[in-house]
Amino acid sequence: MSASSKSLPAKIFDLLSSYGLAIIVLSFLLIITYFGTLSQKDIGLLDSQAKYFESWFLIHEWNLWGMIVPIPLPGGALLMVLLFINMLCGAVIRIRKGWRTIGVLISHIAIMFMLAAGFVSFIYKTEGAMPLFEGQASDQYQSYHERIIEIRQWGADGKGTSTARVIPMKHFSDLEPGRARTFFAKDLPFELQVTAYRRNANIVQAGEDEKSAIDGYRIQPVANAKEDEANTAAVEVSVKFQDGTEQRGILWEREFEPFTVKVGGMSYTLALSRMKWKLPFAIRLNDFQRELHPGTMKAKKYTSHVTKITDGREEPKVVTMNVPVRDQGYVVYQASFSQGTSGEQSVFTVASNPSDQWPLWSCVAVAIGLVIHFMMHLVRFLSRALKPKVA
Amino acid sequence: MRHLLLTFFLLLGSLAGAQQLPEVSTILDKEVVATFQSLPIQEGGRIKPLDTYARFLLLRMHGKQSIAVKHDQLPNHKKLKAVEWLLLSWFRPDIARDLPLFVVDNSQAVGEIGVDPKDLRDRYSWNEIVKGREELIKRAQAYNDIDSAQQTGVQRNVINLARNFFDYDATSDFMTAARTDWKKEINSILSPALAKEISGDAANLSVWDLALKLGTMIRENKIQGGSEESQKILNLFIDTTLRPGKTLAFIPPDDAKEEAWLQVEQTVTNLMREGKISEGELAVSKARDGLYPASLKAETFKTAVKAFVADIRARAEKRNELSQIDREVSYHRTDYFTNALVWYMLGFLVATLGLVAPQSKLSRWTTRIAWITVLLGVGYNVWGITQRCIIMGRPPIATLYETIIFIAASCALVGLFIEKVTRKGVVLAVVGFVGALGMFLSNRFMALDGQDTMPTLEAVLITNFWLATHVTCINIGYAGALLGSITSMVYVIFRFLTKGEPSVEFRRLLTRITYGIMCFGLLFALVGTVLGGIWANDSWGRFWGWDPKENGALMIVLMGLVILHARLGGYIREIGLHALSLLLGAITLFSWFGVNQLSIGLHSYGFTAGITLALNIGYSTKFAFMLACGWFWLQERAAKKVAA
Amino acid sequence: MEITHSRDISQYEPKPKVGAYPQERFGDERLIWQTPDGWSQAERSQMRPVNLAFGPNKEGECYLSLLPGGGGGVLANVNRWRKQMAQPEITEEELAKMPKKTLMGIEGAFVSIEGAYTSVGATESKADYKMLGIVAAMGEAGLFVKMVGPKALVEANSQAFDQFVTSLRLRMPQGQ
Repeated sequence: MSASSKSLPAKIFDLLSSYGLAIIVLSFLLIITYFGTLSQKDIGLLDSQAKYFESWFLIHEWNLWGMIVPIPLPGGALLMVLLFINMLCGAVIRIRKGWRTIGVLISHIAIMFMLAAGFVSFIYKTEGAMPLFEGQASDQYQSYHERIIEIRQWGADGKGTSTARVIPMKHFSDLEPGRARTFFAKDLPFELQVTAYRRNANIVQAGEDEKSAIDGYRIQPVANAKEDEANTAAVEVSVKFQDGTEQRGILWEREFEPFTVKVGGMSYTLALSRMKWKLPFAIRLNDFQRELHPGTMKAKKYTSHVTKITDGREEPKVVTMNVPVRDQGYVVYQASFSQGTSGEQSVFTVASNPSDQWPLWSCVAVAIGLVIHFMMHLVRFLSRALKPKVA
Repeated sequence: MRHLLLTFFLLLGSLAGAQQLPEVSTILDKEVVATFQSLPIQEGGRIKPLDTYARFLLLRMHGKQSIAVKHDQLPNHKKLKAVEWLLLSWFRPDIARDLPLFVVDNSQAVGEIGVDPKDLRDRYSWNEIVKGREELIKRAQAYNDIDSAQQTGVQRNVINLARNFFDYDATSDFMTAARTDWKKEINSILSPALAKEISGDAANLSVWDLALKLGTMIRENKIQGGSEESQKILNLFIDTTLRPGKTLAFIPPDDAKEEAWLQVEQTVTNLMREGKISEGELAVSKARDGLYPASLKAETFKTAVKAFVADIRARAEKRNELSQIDREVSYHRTDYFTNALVWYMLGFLVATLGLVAPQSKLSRWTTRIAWITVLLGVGYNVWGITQRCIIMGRPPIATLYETIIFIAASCALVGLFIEKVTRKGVVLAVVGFVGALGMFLSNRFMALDGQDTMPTLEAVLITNFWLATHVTCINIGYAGALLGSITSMVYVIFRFLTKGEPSVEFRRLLTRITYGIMCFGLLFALVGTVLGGIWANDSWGRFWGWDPKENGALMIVLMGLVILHARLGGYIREIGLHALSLLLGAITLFSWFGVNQLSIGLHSYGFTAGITLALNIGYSTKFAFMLACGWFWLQERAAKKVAA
Repeated sequence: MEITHSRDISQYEPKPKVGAYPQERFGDERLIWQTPDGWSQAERSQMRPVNLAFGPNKEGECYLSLLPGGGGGVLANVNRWRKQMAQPEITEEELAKMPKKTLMGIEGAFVSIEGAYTSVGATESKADYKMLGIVAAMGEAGLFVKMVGPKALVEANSQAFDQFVTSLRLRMPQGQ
């Protein structure tokens, strides 16, 4: 073999483009998919997704007849990056190009495109819920998981600013009790210290002699719900004014009103809530229909008759299962419904994803590539198998 | 004291006996049974023949779609078909309640309610269970409050028994209202004045006259829940009329826009509330009651039944709801998949016989016969699936049951194609085996599930495009992976049994076949999985959500890709390929059925316990064969060392 | 860390209340009362929206509770309390003769029972205790104030009890 005579970059390229790497990466993906699926039973979907599939490395706790064995494994993100590189080097750059390999080439490029689509949507996709009662309208959707601390300014006349400052979850979700971080912004007349973040908590009235109480209340941590949507986070904030004084408050996801501080004739509201995104159009729910299979309580169809309002222009639309409404890069889906005391509420999922349709194109390309390839194989297999008969 | 009670009951019995009962031969007349089979009714959100309803009711309670009988009053019957059993329950509950109907998996469940237990798993009649009725209610209610994951097997048995018992209790009272002499009952319960007001001067009082009168009198406060006599008559009315009236929706609504068919319970209450109901609904409701007096004579019964069924069919036809009824009756009567099972099995046996002496005259003949029988098996299998598609007006797969029959058919068709190409007879045997196994499992699954195999679908599934593309592709993918792992098992068996040069050639062929099938499966699994993502993106706005079912499909694809690349890279040859193909088979089982068991976890039971057992047998078989592959590998390595 | 993100406010978004006080923010604002001198607040629960404690070792308790279902009517509740104090049940006539007090605008029966107190869930009773309470019915719902403690302590605080009861009221939606 001439391996020893090769330069280091060439050796690295050989490694990256090898079948061996492909096999290893795919096998590990298989293993983490298996473990990630099993773990959903214990830690819920969101956490298992973060731990197994969106990570670089992870330690799987393998329950071997009651004994916990820690197994270090590569994470999904690492494996997918490696897979991408492997395909690029092996199936695109190194592959012998010709009619015999055209199917392989097409399908690999398509799969790479699909991985890219996943990456783009991981970074840029926003997704949330928009629940509407009949007659209600909205032009924003609220994230399922992304918590934020938002600060909004109000004038003496009671008018609020049209934007709110937002601290994203990744900047404060690590602030367990005992850890704090201070946030500031250019024309904000105070600094904000954040601490004691709890992913799931209740607010309870504190006993009178509790020193840690804020305004007579304290955060009472609650065990995390399996489905993250059911968690209600809480956090302690301390607003530090320029004159050295400070005002403490508790922010809670389920609070009815925000925490307010006053400085220099202005009021500032602080709230812990889910991220909301604005749509370039509004949706008004006119009529929600739920069809049942006759004589049963089994749903046959959910249909929302809505009006899409774009800059005052109104358009009637119908959103139903499997048939979303798309416009300007946003897609509005019929997700579910809820029946409360105040009537029927239709719940839409709204998503904005630049790579929304990429998987579709990629699927078509994969299918074409594989069909070409396997057809060629089949023809060869058949001609070989039938040879004795022909001869 | 005992004697007194006994006499009392005998007296009661003779009173009840005063009402005439129809002859068994009248009720179970062939023509009558066939006519009733094709009666359209509505259940579970769709219109279906009474035959289907009876079959799955009996299956749920009894574990089979027919019931073996041994009864003095049924001297000419060893076995009753589902509809026969239902008719007997309606018209001769006195006999039907004696039949060993309720299947109980663990006799402890009947012991708990004070009924004498028989074998560990045995069947009990209504008359046996009724002794423990009060305790059954109490226990079932208590057990129902326990979280389903914490319930023990016996507790579930009790809950199921209670459900079946009370459902059957109502079903067997279906004709009681018509049998009741209401005039006599009213005279004996109510004060003469009230009785007179209700029955007037008429010689007979039907339940419909009574309902009308009762409704008016309740509205006028002449009958109130408070008074004892009112309560008594209301209770009797509820027990004989409303409760059994809930069991069957056989009354097509006159309003064409109304989708839900009516039950007697609804028409009676509507009549009581409104004072009148639409003509057709009343006519059909009353026609049911007319069946009882007609049943007392064989000639009149046949005519009455025909008129009754024809009337409802005509109404259903007007509503465009009759078109598939007869097809469904014939679908169940033909029993496609049991037929397929028999032919597949025969094909497997004959083809295997041929393998014993390859290339001989015998094998030429066995191959020919096996081809014919297996083709018959596939024919029944595919035609059965086609019939289901026509009846439901949708693509072949939407439920777990349907995946089994579809995957069996796909395996068979792919296998036959390969047999056509390779002509070794071995794949023919595999096809027979896989087909028979599939048919057997589908039958077991249906029995465990105990529900109509053609249910209405949840909203999100009602989309023919995706059912036809994604679901079909994925299941063909499953079929390919499973068939590949089975040819690998054949390889292992073959390798144990034979030695020598010709066997090496044959092994090579098996390897190529396995690889080919696997690639075929991978193609469909890959495309099917991605299509699933696209469907999810269209339905919920996310392409991939790491949901267990999605992950299961992904694992098949990944394993397939590992095998493909390992083979291309020269990492695996024969034994390696078969070992991995077996692993792929195990993963496919996990993806197909295993992930569905995850949510239930350790506390598996009844229905799912059966599946868990089957799954574990499947996994163990695959791993045992993989171990064999490991042994071959060691052998080969040792041989190489010796050669070196 | 600098705050760099922001989001646009939608015109459909409900305007929050600026300057809300804590009770209002945490949905805790319906009841207001004055805690008598020397008393303190104990941890509250769904069952006890107001829960106070008193006495040198906080052995006395006084709380407000609401039962949406009413718990079986005034008589049943009075007798339940009597049972807790190891006293015989009374009849409807005797109930009618009991003194009345107003609790949050509703007239209720004023209960004063002495005896051996067994708190809910306890297995042993405490001798020489006293219970003061008001049982009021508001349609289906029952409204109760109950004060229990060692006899001497409760008697010393009976004025504080009245003071607490009169201070209890609902905050009107536009109140403050």
